[in-house]
Amino acid sequence: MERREQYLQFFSSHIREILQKSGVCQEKLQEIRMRAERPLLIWYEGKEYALTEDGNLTGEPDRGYRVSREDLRGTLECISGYSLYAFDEEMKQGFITVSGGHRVGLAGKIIMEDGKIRGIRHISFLNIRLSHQIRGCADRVLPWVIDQGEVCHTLIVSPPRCGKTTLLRDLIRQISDGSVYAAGRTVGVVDERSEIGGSCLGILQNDLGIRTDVLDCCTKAEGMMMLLRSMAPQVIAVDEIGSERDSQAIGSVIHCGCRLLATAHGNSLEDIRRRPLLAQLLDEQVFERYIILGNGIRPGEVWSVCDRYGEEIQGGG
Amino acid sequence: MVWLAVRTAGIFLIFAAGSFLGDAMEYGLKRQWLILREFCELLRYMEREMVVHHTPLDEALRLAAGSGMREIREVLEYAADRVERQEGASFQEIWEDAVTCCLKDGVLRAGNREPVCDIWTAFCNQDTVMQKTMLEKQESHLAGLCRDAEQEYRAKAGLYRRLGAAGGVFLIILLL
Repeated sequence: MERREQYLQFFSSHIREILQKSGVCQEKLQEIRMRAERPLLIWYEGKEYALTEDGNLTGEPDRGYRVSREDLRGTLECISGYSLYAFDEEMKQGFITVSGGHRVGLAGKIIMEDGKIRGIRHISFLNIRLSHQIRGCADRVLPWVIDQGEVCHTLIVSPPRCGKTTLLRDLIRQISDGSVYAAGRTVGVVDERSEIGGSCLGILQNDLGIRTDVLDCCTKAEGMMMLLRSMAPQVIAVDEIGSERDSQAIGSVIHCGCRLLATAHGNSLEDIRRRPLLAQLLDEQVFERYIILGNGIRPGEVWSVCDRYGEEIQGGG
Repeated sequence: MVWLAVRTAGIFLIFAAGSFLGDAMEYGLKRQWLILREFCELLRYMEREMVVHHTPLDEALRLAAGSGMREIREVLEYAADRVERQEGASFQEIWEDAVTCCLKDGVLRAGNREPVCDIWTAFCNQDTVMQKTMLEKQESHLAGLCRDAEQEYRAKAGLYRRLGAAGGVFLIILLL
């Protein structure tokens, strides 16, 4: 199957037909949402569309093809290779990662036991987020992230679906492999939701570089401490920081001499300042670089690069 | 003399045919029992692979196909091939096709074919919380059918052999 059609293997035969008729290409497709008895929706080139039964993209959800329970069941079977049981642990976290590093969010009836999630039943909502490894997307910001041969503590700030994980992934790869700006570094990645490395059944689906170690499906705070204790990283990378435990672990990372790459949700530094825990990190000038992303012309557009004081040192484009 | 030789040969052939018929009917009962027993063992094996080791289904089916009766191997390999190809068909379709194509008519009686077709619910179930329970339930159901098949075989095997032989003798007497 061509690269552009590889994502089709995740869907039941009827949904596959509709997607084939639509002619959408994988590179520009970000998300496919399937909800029982609701229209089939996709995020394509940064916009939301409904897909009709003929495969036409429309801005009118009412005209979209209604996803049936059979479609959901068939898609779940295809996504999991008919082996949903093999993804038991991941399902408890509400998602599974499939070959190619794509992440499938699941929602349905949660089964609790002794206060812990035991599993999900009657899965009626799927969110298939396609992973796009874009090699070279960090080229523009790398000169600012590496200063005099040393990696700066960097925070990537971006709204959802604007490419912060894609950018982080390429930064990790280039720092690990080495570049004209600095020799290769040992990078430790805490991949809490398998989005960065896209591990599927223990195998990394994305290229994170030759000197990268990955802790998959591990909470950020514990993961950072584990990496510090056992993998001697020179750089640690985490996605979506925001909790108090994350802040405490970050403190340990910084004071151990490791460099830190992290991301956070937000539209701007002002947004970050409104969140008490992140505001504290800003006030303490923990981060030396801030990369602000937006979704103006396309996802992953770099709006600005700021220094530790929040002053812009590189404009967008 | 020639006529005597021919008659002796004829008697022998008729007796052999009768006995063969009896043996064939006995073999049919025995195969029924053995196939059901193999499916019970398959379910126990798959439970280990799926619930304990979390082996992906196509791999687990191929591992299970490694040993066992030819008919079962064919079913498992057919299903594993189609699972691997990811054509978009449901596993229910794949498994039922595998049983229909690889277990020819006569290998399994109609009453036993349906429970074997239903095994798909244990192998590919969206309710992973209930997966182990489904495997146990299917195994228990098939074990019951297997016990019935064994009892029928033990009760009737000797009878069919004797009936076959007796039929042959009766035919000989009739012709003589």
